[in-house]
Amino acid sequence: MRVVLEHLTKKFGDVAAVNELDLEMRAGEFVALLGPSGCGKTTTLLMIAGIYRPTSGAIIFGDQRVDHLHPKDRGIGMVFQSYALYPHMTVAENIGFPLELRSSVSKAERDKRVREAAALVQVAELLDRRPAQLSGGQQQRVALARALVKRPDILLLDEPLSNLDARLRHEMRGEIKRLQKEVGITSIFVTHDQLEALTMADRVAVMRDGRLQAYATPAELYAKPANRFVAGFIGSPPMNFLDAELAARNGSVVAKIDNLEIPLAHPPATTADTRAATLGVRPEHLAILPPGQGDANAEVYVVEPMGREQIVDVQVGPRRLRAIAPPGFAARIGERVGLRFAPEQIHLFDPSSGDRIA
Amino acid sequence: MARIEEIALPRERQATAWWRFNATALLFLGPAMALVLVFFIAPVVITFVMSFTDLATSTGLSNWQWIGPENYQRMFRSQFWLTILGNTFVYVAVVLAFNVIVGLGIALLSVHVEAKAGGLFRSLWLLPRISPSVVYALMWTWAAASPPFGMINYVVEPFGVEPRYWIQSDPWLIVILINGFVGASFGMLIFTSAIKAIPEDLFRAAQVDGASALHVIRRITLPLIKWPILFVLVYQTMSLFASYEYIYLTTNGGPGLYATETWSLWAFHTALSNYYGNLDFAYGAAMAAILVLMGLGISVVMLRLFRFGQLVAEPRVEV
Repeated sequence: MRVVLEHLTKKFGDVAAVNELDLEMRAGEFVALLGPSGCGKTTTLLMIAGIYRPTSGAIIFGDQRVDHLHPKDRGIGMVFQSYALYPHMTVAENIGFPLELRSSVSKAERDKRVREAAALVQVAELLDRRPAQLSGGQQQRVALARALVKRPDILLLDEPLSNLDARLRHEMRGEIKRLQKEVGITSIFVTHDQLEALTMADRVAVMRDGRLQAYATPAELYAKPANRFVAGFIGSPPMNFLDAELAARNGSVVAKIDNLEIPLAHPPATTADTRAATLGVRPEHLAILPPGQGDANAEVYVVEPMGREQIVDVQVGPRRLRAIAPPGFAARIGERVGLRFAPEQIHLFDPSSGDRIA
Repeated sequence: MARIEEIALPRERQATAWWRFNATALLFLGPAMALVLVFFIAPVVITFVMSFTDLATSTGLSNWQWIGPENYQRMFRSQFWLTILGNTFVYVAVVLAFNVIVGLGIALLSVHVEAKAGGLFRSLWLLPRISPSVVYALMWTWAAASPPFGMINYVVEPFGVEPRYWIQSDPWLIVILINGFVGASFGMLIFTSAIKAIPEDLFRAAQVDGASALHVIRRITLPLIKWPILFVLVYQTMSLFASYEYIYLTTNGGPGLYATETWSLWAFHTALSNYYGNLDFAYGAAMAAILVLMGLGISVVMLRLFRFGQLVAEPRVEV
């Protein structure tokens, strides 16, 4: 089922937690609401769930406006950050609780569906346990089963992985993504972790201070971030930013940073003589070369080997940039190197508005 | 690694080792143990011992004698002991039900409304608890005063209720209301904090799962505050058995002979405040001793019934 948010606003007192949010999710899509804490992503989710009432704006499921409906009448399943399993009920009772409240579902039918849902998330052998007797990952699965057992139209997940340890998080990331595609249910999940959003979602809505910053596929967000905030938030290690000035040189455009001149493959469309810009380049698009080669001379500040790659911080004049080098790269602190900016991979942002200009 | 008990020591050193090992514990527990001994154990022992004497104002404090179980025989020969026992159980059971049900009701209602309004509502219910007992009881005697006075008469008369002197005509109603209105706030406080300690997400999850407000209360709230409910039940039963001050200040056990006299009030009247002027300390002590035994018996039964051991061992709400 398709979900549309129109000018959705939620104010707490004078503070707008969510401000004029417009978002459309296609049927069967897996959408992430991504942003730092306090950006309004959980407030948005709770409005979609019907737990918070919007101050203004509309929430539409399919063709029906639902923002006046009680949570139970919206056809949603939800997994909470804390899992919110009922501690006094067994796993089977927890999963069966949403069905227990529906008189149309018989006891036999309920048992059958509880077992199906439990099998789907692989907790069939835990049905008699209490939540306190389960590991975090198992609780997570039970919460998923409880959300799915009533066959909702929309699945909402609030920070589903943040209470799991790193290994389990990786495992559940894949499982939730696969489950979502298997069930084919429109799903919205909230996360502050850009890696989770990129790996799991079909499309990611990046939010900041209650406003939508970007809404695109993970690949688009990464390759063409809409503004400086998105560019800095997505990607690890984060993008390098440099204050630059654009200038014409022999029929093409270069970015001038002090006495460096970096050629641009995709200069901005506007052709003012000189223009200030923020230049952004991801660490993997900075190549470390022998001294004297490339666009700039640099000095190795620190090297962090990560196994598959190494993160190398280099000092260029007064600035420090982060680059990624292959595992074989050997350099000592203080060593001189050359640095090359991949011209195809340079992002330019307006220094005042932060919007992408090229 | 060997545990402390397994380390063999020469016999003469074992005693000093025991002291050294336990001295700190005794030092810290000592003051509390002394207080318990002086204020809890000693009065019970003195009461039991005294109940086998004829100590009264008529015998004087020095001329008393041991009279064996005569006080007990006298008590159960009294034509009123069954009435008083019955009164006691009615009083405890009805006031307990009032306290727990009303306390739970206020707690549930006041946490489901707007926070400030709920807080104000709860503060109102605390007023009887924070006013001095005598003032509170006096206000009730005025409210229940005989016609043409009495606030209760003014309030209920428009509904077609004949004005009356409530303390005379319906003494039990007054006894239950005066104790109930002050007692409900105890459960209210405990239940409110217990409900507020339940993680908000559980209520949200239940809403999403399709539960109505009543479902949430029955299937989520009540099971999760089971332990505070049982605590209030047991605690209030014990306090009600021993309490008599509001009855004393309103009906004083009347009207007539022992109509609203409870066991603790009977003991108080006999030993410390009787009409004849002969304060029968020993006889009252025998009554109090029976009260202690009743209290002990009921607490054992309740703790068994509610499987207290399991209850405290059960894991609490975890997130």
